[in-house]
Amino acid sequence: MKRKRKPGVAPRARPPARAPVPGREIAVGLMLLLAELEGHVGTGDAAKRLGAPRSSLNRILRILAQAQLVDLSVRGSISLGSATTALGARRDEMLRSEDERRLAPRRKQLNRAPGSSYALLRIADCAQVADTARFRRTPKFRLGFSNASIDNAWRTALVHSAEYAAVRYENLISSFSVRHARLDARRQTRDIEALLASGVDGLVLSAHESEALVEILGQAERRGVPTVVVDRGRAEILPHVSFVTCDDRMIGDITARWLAERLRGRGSLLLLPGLIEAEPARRRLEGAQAVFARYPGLRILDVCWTGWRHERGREIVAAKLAGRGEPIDGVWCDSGLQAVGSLRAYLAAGRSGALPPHTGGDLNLAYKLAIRHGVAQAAVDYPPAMGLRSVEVLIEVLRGRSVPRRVEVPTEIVVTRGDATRSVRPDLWSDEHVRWDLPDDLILASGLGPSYDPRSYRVHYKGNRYNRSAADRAARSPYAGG
Amino acid sequence: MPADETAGVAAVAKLLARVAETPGRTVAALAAELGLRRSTAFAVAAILDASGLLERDAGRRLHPGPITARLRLARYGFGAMADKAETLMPVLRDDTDASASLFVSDTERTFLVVRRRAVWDGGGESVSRRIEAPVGRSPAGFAARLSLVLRPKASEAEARSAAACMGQVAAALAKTLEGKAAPTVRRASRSSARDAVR
Repeated sequence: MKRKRKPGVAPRARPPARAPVPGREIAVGLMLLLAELEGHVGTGDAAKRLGAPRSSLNRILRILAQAQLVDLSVRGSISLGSATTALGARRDEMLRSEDERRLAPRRKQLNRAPGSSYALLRIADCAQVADTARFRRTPKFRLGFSNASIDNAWRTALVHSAEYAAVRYENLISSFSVRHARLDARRQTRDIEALLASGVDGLVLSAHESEALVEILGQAERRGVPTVVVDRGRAEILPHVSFVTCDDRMIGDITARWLAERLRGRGSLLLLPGLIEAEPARRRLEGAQAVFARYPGLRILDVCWTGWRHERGREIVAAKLAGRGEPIDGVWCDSGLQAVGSLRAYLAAGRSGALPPHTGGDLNLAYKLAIRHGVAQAAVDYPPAMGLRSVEVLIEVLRGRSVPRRVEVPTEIVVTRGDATRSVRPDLWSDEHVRWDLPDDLILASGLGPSYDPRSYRVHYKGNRYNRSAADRAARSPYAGG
Repeated sequence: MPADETAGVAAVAKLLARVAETPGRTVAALAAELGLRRSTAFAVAAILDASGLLERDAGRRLHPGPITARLRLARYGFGAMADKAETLMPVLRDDTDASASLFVSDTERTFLVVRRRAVWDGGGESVSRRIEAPVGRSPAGFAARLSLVLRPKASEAEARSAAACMGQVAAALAKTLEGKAAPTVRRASRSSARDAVR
């Protein structure tokens, strides 16, 4: 019988009817709930959390239990079934097989555990993990690389290494665009804007001036485009997911320790760091100066920034030699890029018999000159292989896999034979590391294999034309002559 | 629950169970194999992909997604550790040049849950030195520990450095266990302990 409403009383407002949640979404929600609650949940609790009627949930549970995705053997509780555990085990198998494919076979026999840089001990960010779930998407990916500059052989090798990644992972990458900012912060901002406008899914960035890029990278992140910083960039201010690098301070520390020990803690030093605007150069110099400060017998004659240019290194040293000031007992360089200029200045001044010890490697020519002219030399190569690694990390991010906040790319300590010191033992002697058969402008730690030759490098990936590298051809062969 | 909804749930169950058996199949192939309507299979696969239970590779083949790693470790009460374990085990291996493993165990059994082998490690019976570090105990009563198998003839200094690195990773993994609630129901069932190693 229909109840009569009292006159003058407004009908009670009914709560809005909730749209029923589809069963398949409840099933998926239940699996996620089990993941969140460490594999166990009460049936009543699950129904409440999922907003599902008990009867519907029970029917769903029976179907999932039949497939052994859940275990209902304890009354009133839902646990993980064996098929769910098997899914996790399959994932681990997949990751393990991908991981083993990535591991390159060893080319050289090293004196210590290769790559065992123990960076986890020194750098806390190596053990921090970035959550990447919000960037997850289905391959293939469109990637962009905003490169600070292409003004020396090392940077050419970095680009080659990143391009190699685009080939190696061509099944996951639909296009790879590279733009060089030529040491111009505004140009780099425009490059990133253009890459974003072209619809890239993720960015690799080697930053020229970090401060100028904070806003545009923030925008990129808000648009769901992750950034992996490689080589250059102030990780503390730049919005980024991961920083792929090599411990610059350690490079400065090891090379400075070797020089100080080689000189038995006495003498005059000329310091030739790289580019003043580049954080790696500043960090290496800091590391070196901290070491030199511990030796009161060492005197620093001058600190001259070279921009990692061999011409600049040569000019500075030539001027010092011509000035006939205090003799230089050792030359600290953070890279062989400028060290070759210094060595050539000594040779041009007719000092081939008594060249002071030098530091700085990377460049094939730096090793060739040191060995040929009997110069004691120590180097820790700054590996351009970080280009390849940064693309790998970006792919991981886009696949929704967590990545370390900082990725250290392993490197090697290289010393001319017989010139090891008390605390600096080489992984390789220079004569084992040098490539006499390859060009002077070869950068040795490129990770591109023993046959890599920057002059004949050809690469084909989606986004380039005529198999040409994006590295500026004008940047090649800058070490000829002199 | 309407019949088409039951079909949707069945599709979820069948797809997940089949990917657990044979990953790397396309949705179309699985639909044909499992007798699912293509439209249902594609719709369900999209939901599973978006949730992270499955993921699709460039060839649109289905594989277990990131959530499944968490589900696997959830069995032992270490689900929250899954992401970090997946990420940091290769880092530990690369940083120490040692084979890195994560074990969980209770009083009777030990399970190997993650192993990342060093380049030199051919997988045979190793005579190399093994060092271990505890990670923590889960509310479900399992203990997790890290293990490193050092390269042959590793020096004492290498072993010390590797142990210290392992300590850093163990601390990072242990952080995920902070503030964990007591177990809600019970421990992992014995019958499903298929990955027990010793």
